[in-house]
Amino acid sequence: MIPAVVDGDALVQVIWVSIVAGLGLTLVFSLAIAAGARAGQARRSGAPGEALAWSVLTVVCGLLCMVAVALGVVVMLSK
Amino acid sequence: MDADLLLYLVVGVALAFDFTNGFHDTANVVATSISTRALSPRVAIGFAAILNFVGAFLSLEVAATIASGIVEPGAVSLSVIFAGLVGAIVWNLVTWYAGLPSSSSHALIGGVVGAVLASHGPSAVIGDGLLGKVIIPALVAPVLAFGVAGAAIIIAYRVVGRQRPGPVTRGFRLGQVVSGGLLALAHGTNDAQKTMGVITLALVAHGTLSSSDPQVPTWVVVSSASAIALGTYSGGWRIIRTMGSRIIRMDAAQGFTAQGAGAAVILAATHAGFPLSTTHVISGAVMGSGAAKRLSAVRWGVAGNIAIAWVLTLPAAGATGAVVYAFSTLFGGGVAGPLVVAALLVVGLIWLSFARTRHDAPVEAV
Repeated sequence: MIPAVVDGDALVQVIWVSIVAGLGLTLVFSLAIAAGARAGQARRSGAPGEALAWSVLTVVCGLLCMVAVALGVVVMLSK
Repeated sequence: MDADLLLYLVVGVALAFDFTNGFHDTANVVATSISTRALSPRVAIGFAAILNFVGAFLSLEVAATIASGIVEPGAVSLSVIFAGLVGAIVWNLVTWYAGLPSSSSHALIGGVVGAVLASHGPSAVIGDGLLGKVIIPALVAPVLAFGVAGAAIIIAYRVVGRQRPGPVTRGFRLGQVVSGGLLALAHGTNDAQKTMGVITLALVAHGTLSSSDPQVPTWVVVSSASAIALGTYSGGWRIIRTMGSRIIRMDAAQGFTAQGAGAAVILAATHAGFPLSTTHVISGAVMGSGAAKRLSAVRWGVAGNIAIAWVLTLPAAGATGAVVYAFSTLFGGGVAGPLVVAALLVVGLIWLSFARTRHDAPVEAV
């Protein structure tokens, strides 16, 4: 009964895309925050190499988040 | 002359609905940002109003014509649209007064279905469409958002768990500004379009626009965008309080995961063409981010009241739409009935605005 009235493919797509996008965005953004905090700690404790590595991870994760936001706007524009 | 007057009334009531949609659903976008102090209340609301306005211009597909696939197209007349809009406005005002987030789209669909039932009987309502486009999505949206936000907050706490709270809180607050902006844009594109669809449908029914390929006039786009933005800027503080602090007391990480998971679910649904209510998604995400931390963190009594409001939205807006339609016909088939209803609605709005002035002070961050 339910499959006859609901677009089953769309429903499955909504579920898996929501899980991947929601959890992926949270993971990447949390990594950016944690890496940023560790970079600060490393700078304060006089470890410039470690600070640089954490800073690079922060920037990469931040860029990935920006790409996710841009993708969200594209989805809105293309509906 | 009568047809022209009825068209003006429908356009006016459609814009009034758009305004209530804005202030009713503001909470979805700004409540978590305010309660975690990511933004001050006035800045959050101004930000949401601007992005709602911009969002209304992003897409002009009027595919989401009201209740399409839910009622027979031939049953939708100007009088039915008018009664449906009044039913939706009344339900939005009732739930706003009670501080309960409920779906404005479902209220509009309920109002139109009720008016169609009163005018054409049950045969004009498409049961499968109602089940597939409204009832099942209303069950899916909060459960999915609850699960995604719940899993997301566990991941966030795991990743940032050992860091100093200061930078972590500032980071998640910054993230909330962006995720809240995405939600406001999505709301503007979805909900302002519904009003554009209603007004375009009314213009087609009136004969002003061609039914074969109706183009949305620029004044319709601008007025719909302005009404939803003004409504958003006026701020539905009662619902903001419920969403921001009465369901759970949230920290910045919970605020970010609720908004981020909510935006992910809404955009996934938009991409797949599956109709989900923004209100249901965000409410479910707020509860999920609270329950994953600690089940007792969620005030389940408040959550239960919200669920009851969701269940009642369709029948209550439908009953109001049906009563308004039946009442209008008492004055004959012309414009007299809708004029009387519109006058009563204006009196009710004036009374409510006085009540709001007396009892509704802006919330401060908690």
